[in-house]
Amino acid sequence: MRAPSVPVQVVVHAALIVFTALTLYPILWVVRMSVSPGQGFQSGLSPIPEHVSGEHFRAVMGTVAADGSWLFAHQLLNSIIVSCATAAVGVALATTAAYALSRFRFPGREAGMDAFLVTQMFPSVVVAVPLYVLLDTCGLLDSTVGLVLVYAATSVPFSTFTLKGFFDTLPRELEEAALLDGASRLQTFVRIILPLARPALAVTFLFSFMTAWNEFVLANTLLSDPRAWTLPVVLQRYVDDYGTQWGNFAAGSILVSIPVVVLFFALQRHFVEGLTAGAVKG
Amino acid sequence: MARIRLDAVQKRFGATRVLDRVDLDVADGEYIVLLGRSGCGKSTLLRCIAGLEEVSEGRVHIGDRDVTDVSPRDRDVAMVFQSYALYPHMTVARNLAFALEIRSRPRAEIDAAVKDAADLLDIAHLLDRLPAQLSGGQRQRVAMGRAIVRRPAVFLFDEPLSNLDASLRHHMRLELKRLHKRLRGTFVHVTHDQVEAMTLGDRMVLLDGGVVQQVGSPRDVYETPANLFVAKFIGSPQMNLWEAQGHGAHTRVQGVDVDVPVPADGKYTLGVRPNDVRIEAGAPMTAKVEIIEALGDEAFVHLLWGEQRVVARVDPRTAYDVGEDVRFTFGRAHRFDTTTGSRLP
Repeated sequence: MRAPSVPVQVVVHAALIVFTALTLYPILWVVRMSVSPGQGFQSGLSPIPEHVSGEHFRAVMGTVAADGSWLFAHQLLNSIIVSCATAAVGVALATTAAYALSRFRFPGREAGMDAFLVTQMFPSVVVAVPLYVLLDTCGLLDSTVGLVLVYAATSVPFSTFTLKGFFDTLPRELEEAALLDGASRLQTFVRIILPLARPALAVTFLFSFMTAWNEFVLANTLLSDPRAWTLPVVLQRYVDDYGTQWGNFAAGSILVSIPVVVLFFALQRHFVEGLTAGAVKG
Repeated sequence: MARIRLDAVQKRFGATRVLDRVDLDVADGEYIVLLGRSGCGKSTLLRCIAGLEEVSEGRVHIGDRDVTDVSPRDRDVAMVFQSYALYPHMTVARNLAFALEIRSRPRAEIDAAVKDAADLLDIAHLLDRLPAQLSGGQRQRVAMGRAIVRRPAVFLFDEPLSNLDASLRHHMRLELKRLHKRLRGTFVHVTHDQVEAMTLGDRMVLLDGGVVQQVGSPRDVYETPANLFVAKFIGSPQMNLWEAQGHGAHTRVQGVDVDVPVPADGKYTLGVRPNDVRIEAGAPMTAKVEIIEALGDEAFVHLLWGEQRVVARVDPRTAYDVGEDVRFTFGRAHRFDTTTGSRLP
């Protein structure tokens, strides 16, 4: 293929630089706000701070409860536990459900898939009150278990659809070969299908994790005890009726983003396309 | 090693009947080839033997067992898929070992079996590679190795050579033949390629529309096709076929008197293979040379015989000119019932 001409390359790169700057600018701006002293809103176009201070990070991370315990650690741990558990439960349920929907024909299959879609159409605000009543009845308000159940239930339909789409692309001959090799359905699923589904599982896990990690509306409704809060609820508390602590809010936003970025990089190597290359003719 | 017996096997997908009362008896150690066009039911029949498809009616026996309701994993059959179906995340060694690992065989036994299979198929140097790092021919060998590693009672091959290029296909045909000789297993091989069927099979089964058309040795099927379908399907170029009218010693094909070895009364379809059309001086019939196909070691001359066409296999060293008149006669001829298509005596 002929390389593009110099003017075309200049235009393309200029456009790419502009869009990269547009994407990075708000993030750099938040970084600036998080390291600039004071809680005021930093005006000015430059994303480079005039003075650098770690006071907001110290303030956010050093929050303590009335009893003197380290509140931020509790809240960070809540977020990690809730998000990991949501992703684990969601992926575990969605994987088996998606495999069944992809491979078996059974009564209610179509209706079940339609029902999954319908659940995706309601905003979380609509279900917040019924869920509150439900968790209250079960004694699961202000609990990690309650929140995980709610999040997992909401993430399963989307995860199931994602994974079903992936399983549909896996050649059935692989399972038939395993069956003839003497493997049971479960052995085939565990030893053949799941290793091949690793990229899809990684994506689904990350999606479920991020959904739970960033969720605010339900967490804010179902959690009232600061020790049970997750980080999005904590962040929102820096914005109140009497003013906004912009410095803390920005520092908190960056702290909240770090685990997701780390997880993305950790899972990145699993997002390998074409793991099934060589399975069948080609 | 085991005998396979199919009793009136039927397979329907909804209202569509894919196999219609198939009876078949495959002897222990026999190499049988299921041959037919795409969609004739040959792969479905193979999958019914494997247990990957449940039969709608009829029984499947492998050895002394009725395996109709037995799971594929307990039928003691191995299958080489058209797509090879190698486990892409496992090395060649693990692909070969999988069936034995699943059966929890001792490690030493697994290693020995993998080594034997790899040596037999000349893939020992590939054991640490992933399927994606192999060529088509190498994948094919690994797929065969996976089948032979646990020495099953029956080997099933679903168009195993169809993804290979012509020279490799020829090579692998010979390999299959050697493998069969060495393992003395019961082989069932599905193909749409008549050359594969003719060269590999002890016997071949011709299927059309889910119905067995003929079962016999390649020679038998070629020499005495049971019906018009078989006559057309086996042989390349296909058999010359004409509507004929016999009356005593005279046979007429669309108004032309022809000389057939065994004349018969009534209307029928006359069939003559191209190598039974003899072009020789003084022969009773005359035709005009239309096209000459020279293939190196053989040649086919397409003749215009009135409104009919005749294909004759000729010595490639004999020169013919397009438009030239030649005289010809028939060697062996076949007669088929025009209505039912079945062979007439």
